[in-house]
Amino acid sequence: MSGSQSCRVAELVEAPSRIEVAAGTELVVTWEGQAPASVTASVLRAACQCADCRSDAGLARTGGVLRRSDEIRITGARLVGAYAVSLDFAPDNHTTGIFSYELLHRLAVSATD
Amino acid sequence: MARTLRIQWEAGQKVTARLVVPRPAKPMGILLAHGAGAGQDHPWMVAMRDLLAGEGFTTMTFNYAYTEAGRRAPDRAPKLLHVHRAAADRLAGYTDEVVLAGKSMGGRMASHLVGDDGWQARALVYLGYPLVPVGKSEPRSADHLRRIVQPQLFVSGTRDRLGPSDLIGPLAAELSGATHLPIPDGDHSLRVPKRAAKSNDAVLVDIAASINVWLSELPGR
Repeated sequence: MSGSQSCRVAELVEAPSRIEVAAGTELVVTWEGQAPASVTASVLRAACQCADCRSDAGLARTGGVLRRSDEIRITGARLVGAYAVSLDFAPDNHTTGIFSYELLHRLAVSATD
Repeated sequence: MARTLRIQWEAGQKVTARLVVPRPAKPMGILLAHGAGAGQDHPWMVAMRDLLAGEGFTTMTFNYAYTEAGRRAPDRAPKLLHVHRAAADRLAGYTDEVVLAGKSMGGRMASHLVGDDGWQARALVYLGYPLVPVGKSEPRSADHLRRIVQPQLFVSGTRDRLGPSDLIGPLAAELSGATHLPIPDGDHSLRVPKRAAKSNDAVLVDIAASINVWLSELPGR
């Protein structure tokens, strides 16, 4: 980035000690020393930050409605480097979402309040 | 059918509220605050109130004091919050938990009621959060939103100039427990043009159903 631009430095969030897809409807994430926190498939699908989901065309295709987690399912999960997990969703077969541990932590925090 | 209530917010000072109790009703109630430009009896407010009640939520709207008095200019924030708090307290007497929802200014006041005053809402729903003040280009401070520990749902139109999706989306991603629901082609009132894929009525139906989904899947329930 040029000197006139700025970017937010991501808060460092440790890698979870365990990430588990539960029944396809939620992601259960555990950080060391903390209680497991779950994020529903519905919230994760809505939170996808990929370019397609944030484009006008993507929003027109998927936006405007939140579907129940028993309609949206997490069908796959893969670690991305040491900072994120990539999730696959059905029924729209969306596979390009990368969820950083920082984003997962933010989505999960209210689960432990 | 809405019941009309009178809410005392200060000695000798009352505003009107409308309460819809569906049968059966969920234990969670929704307080829907109106925006700056129109009161609780505006057709948009009545439609959203009845749609939320149709989803099973005891739903209440109310007038701020300036609306009740027939004035157009909104009161200053402390007075808005005073009335908002009284309405929230009243609904809390009817339901186990209260979700604070609001259109534009009403949502912003709800966020201050929780973020600044610590009112114990179950969650917050913003229908067009006015992040950028009218006539301004710089967004307002969002510091109080960062103090809110409850889940927050930002519903925003992709054509909303007061709550641009390219600002609301990253803000929601930055906040703990926040979700952004972008409404394709929606303006600040979540209205869509005639060329849009859905009608305005269909959009409001989808928003109410989405709020139900989001609330029903809140953690800890």
